[in-house]
Amino acid sequence: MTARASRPLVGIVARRILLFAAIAMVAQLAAVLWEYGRDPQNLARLMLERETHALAGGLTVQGSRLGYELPPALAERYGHEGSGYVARLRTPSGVILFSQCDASCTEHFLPLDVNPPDFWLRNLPAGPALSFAGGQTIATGGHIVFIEVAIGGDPEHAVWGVLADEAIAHMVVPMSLTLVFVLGATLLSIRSALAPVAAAAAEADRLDPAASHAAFDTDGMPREIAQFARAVNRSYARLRELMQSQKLFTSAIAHEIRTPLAVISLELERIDHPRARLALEEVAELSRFVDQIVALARLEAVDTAERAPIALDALLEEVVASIAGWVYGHGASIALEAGAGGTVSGHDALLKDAVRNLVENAVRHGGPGVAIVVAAPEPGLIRVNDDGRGPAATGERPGGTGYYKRAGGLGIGLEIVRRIAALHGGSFELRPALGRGAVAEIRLPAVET
Amino acid sequence: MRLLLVEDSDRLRELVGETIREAGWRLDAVGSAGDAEAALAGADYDLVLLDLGLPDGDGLDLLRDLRRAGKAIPVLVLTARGAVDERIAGLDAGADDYLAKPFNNGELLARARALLRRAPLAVQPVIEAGALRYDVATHEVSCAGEPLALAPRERALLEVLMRHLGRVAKKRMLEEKLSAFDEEVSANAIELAVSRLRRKLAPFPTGIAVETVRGVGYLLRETTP
Repeated sequence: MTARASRPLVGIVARRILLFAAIAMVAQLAAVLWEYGRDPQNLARLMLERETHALAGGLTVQGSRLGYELPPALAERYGHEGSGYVARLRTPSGVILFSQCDASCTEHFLPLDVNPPDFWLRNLPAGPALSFAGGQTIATGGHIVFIEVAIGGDPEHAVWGVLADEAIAHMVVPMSLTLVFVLGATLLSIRSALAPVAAAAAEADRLDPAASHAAFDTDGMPREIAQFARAVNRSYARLRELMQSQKLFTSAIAHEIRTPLAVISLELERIDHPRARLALEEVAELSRFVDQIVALARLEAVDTAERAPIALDALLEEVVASIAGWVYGHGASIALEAGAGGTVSGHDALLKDAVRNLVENAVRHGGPGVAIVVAAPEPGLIRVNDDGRGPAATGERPGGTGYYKRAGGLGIGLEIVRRIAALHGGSFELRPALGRGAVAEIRLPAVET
Repeated sequence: MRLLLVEDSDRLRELVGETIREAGWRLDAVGSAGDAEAALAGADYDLVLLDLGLPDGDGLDLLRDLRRAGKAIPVLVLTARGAVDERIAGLDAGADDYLAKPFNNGELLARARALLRRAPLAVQPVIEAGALRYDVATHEVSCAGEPLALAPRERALLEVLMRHLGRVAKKRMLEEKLSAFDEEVSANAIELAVSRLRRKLAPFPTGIAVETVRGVGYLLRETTP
């Protein structure tokens, strides 16, 4: 499954609203066109009104004298004869202000000696669709002007202008206003409804389910979101229950195994036979395995809320001091190069366990006489290197995860170290050293002090 | 030396009992917290070996009660709980040391000896490590019966190291302990004393080694188990 990038809800809703508004507009436009198509009389009336209004725009009043100049936009239709459009402007006193009349004038218009009504319209059934003649009386600057227009079939498609005017006046303007308010109100309410969700998400990011008190504060959340948050809280609680029971389970197992192991190993010590020594070694490996399994299981149940500032140099000194006897007892040697470790925030016991694991690992797998150096070369960095057989020689995948070898093998010990590093927001790396041996590094976020 | 063993596993009680008695110490062994309380009330012990998982209570509670009652008897906790956190919990409750099961006889005796060694001087007039013997009263050091001639600072150093047998004696601590003896003691002076001590011990079959744990301190350990 390919992951789809998640988009903001506001964007999605805004796009939907705009899409549906566009569909509604197109539908309404189609309805308007159909309406006018069915009623050419109405369309003719509107067109006449528009044409006379446009023609009236050319009237000028200079003192008491009326003048006329055809507006340039109309020149195409009324600037020459035979265009299919004719117009005449006259005054009640019979002065012709503008005329581009041909024979059709006498045919379609009222005679000059007749004062026309304020508005008249007559279809011309002989012509093509949208053929009509008509007139309107307008008053400008105290003068009365009769404007007469005849159109035969509208070859210049002036009708689209009429329809566009109609659409703008009756649809686009009111719908746009509505759209702006609807869109604004919707987006605003989404934004304010989602604000607690965003806050909850930010809180969830900060929450660590493994921390003992990890839970959403549902106070003041909208009900639906509070429901969701409570569900998350329940799953957090369940998670902690599981962690707790795992803790109990592993410690019970460990207890039931360790006491018999102690009996076995003390019994074996009393048997003076080389085979008993071999069996003892196996018991030691087995008990180490139990330790590691328990340690690993416990890491899952660590309460990440319990952290304290730890001086790395002092911690390393403690570990080296406590493990040195064991290291020398196994024929290896150990040294500490601390001083620059700084402070980290973490679990003292876990970090000690991690370092101890690395040292044990170096002793067990480095070969005889291996020299181990535990160092803190820079703040937050723990380095354990040895001059033994490198990690490649022991057939181990550096930094490999989920890689388990038999009891006492490399797998679990390093897995423990890796998880401890991860629990502290750090990283773990094991690599062959230049030349000879291995370098294990735990990198932790250093804390400014 | 009289030791008290509190352990609920019968077989383990027998085995540890055998080991302790073979080491020449007296041992009382009980199997429950109740018996342990009774035993502690009735006799003075030099060391308590305490298992934590007891049938009638947690060994840590017993330990806390003991400390609350003001008793300073060294306690070595023997437990099947191995996790680090619990180790800390045990030490917080007043345990002097901690030994996770399974353990072997050598470890058990070494830890027990180490704890007994911390006891007051009157109780422990002679400290042993390998074939070395240090007489606290006379300040005489001998190896397998042969006396060693050591300078005062070397002898003081050896005493501290022997008291820390198997554990690292930190350099800082050595500087403190030895400066009581002699006004100015530098890190160099300690290094010098250690190398002289090593040279003087070398001809003898001491069965011990003084290891340098660079960056931390010195470790005296037994080389022959």
